[in-house]
Amino acid sequence: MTVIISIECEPLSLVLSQANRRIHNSVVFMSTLLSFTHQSLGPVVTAFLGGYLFTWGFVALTVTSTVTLGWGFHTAEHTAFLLAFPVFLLVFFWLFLSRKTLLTHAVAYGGGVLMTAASVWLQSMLLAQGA
Amino acid sequence: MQFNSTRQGMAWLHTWLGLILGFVLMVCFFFGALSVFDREIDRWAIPETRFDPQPMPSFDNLLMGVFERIEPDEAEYKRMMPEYHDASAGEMTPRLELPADEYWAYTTHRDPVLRMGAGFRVPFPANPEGHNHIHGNTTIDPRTGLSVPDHHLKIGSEWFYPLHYSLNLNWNRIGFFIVGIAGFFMLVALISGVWIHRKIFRELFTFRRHKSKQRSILDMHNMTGVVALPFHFFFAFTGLIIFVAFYYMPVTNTMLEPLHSAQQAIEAEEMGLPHERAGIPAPMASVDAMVAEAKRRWAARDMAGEVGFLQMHHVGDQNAYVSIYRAGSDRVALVGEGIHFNGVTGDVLREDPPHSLAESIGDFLAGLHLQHFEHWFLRWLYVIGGLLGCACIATGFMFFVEKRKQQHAKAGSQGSRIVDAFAVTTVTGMVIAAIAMLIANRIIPSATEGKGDIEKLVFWSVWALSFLHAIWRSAAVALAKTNPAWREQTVLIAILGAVAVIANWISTGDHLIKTIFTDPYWAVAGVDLSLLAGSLIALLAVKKMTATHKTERKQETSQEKLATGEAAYE
Repeated sequence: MTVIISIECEPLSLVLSQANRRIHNSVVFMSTLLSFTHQSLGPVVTAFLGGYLFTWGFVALTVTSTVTLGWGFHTAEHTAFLLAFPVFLLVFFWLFLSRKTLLTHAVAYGGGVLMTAASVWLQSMLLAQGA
Repeated sequence: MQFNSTRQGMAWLHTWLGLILGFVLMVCFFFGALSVFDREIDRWAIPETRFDPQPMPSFDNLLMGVFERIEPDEAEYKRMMPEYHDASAGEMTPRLELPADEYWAYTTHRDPVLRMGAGFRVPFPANPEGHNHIHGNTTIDPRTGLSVPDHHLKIGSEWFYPLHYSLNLNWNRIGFFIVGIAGFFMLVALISGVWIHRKIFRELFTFRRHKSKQRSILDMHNMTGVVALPFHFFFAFTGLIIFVAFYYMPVTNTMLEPLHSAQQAIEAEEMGLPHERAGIPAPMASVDAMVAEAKRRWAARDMAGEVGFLQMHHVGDQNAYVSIYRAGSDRVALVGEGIHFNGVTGDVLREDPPHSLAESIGDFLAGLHLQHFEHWFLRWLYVIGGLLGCACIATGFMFFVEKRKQQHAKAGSQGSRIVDAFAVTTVTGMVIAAIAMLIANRIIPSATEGKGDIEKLVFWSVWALSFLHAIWRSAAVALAKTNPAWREQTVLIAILGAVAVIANWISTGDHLIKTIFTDPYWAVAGVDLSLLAGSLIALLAVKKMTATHKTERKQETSQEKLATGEAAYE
């Protein structure tokens, strides 16, 4: 009887230790994943959004200002979009690699908002003039 | 996040963003490479369309009759009609009674079949200023005017091609946005990759296959990245440029829409093309005569003169006009040199002027990506470039795993194991899914209702199974060994490639001797030969993997013996 119990118990303890190890591994994996998402992907996301907002403002202001200068709308639009991704990439790298995170993010986000506001104002001026 | 140096930051970006978005980029590059020959894959998948490319047929004698047979799409009618229609203004028009407002037909130098469509007006529109069209499309044999059945999926141009820019995930266009983000980070990965590998010229000639596995994989990753670096860069960049204004950054279609509309109205007035219907019915002039005049004008400018795209606006109305564009077979830039005719009198209303510098650059970049030109050697270079991109991404995954798996095995981490399973699914699993879809296409009888939907189901199911297989076999990676799923799925590719060619032969009688020698048809022969080449490469890879596997086993056995000997000694 004792022999039977020992035969039955040994695999059970093995199974339990393996299960413990798996749970431990899963917890380690999940915590690594969460920490990676929070600490590492966070700066990527803020740099991406900052770059996007800045580029949005840049495109809008390029279109409205060049139309104000007398360019055709589609020429202005093409020019702005050709420059969009180089600008986006530059701002993204600048924000991601910068040591003065707060300052650079303030400049990019603030710049994006300001350029967007300026382009909306220019648009209303152009429409008022019957453009 | 703080890094000790810019190079360290760049290395972090390259590694982690390359890994996370590499799975999406792999799909873009592989199916993008297949899309270079999408029309040829269509011919392989729909044997009824295996005949030579045809020029645009007579509008007056053939196309007009087909246009009149096109019906508004039932699903689009159900989905869009309640949105377009103003119920308070009048009763909703039944689907088959909607009046046609627009006709179009499109072909290329590689198309035996002709794609055609109609836009139907919605009476009593909720927004009279909007583009209130319910559409209906068809594909015909231009020799007879007969339609290709709707349930025959054009696997090349309607499945593989959209897969590379939208992942065929159409819910709220989520696939477009995922691919857009991946495309942006592809540029980030390329720039950061160049930054961290300073000796770029040396990378071109460095492949140390006899060094360690990790070193060889890194050499391969660098070489495939550097050798096609301009290709990788311009494909990611031009792909983004094509969709930027519509989806990724729709500044001019949202925030600046009022200015856009106002400017468009001014441009339309300058162009002299009627923006709206007059509301007065009128008979149409001969469109064939307009086509002849357009060809005469292109010839006078020393341009190749086949019609690629033809569009009739305001059908049956006094303000009708016809726009005729040249097929883009003789240059890279995507310009049609459009000529517009009055639809009632047949007089020329306008010839499109040359584009501005910025527009010309945009046309060139879009044309570079979409390659409408007729240059077979260059098309093959595109395929090689796309496959080099796949090799670069795949070796990136492998390097990630090789570098970390020993360390992860010691720490009991599952990271390498999971990454490896995803890599197997995206590299070999994707190829298996594509070939399985082609085999299903040849096995399922042509008359089966919903044949295309079954083929799509086969594609997704096989891909999901390859993932389950990769996960199931991945335990080895957690012990710092190689996942056997790599070898097993590669064996499957080798078998399936040959099976697809045989299935094509049995189901259509088009074997390679016929399609190459006795009755040449290169579209089908090309697909068959590519499948066989894929099988051969897979076989060579299996041979190499088996040899590596045996070496690893030998090393393990000798280490075990050593360990047993040491234990006995102790």
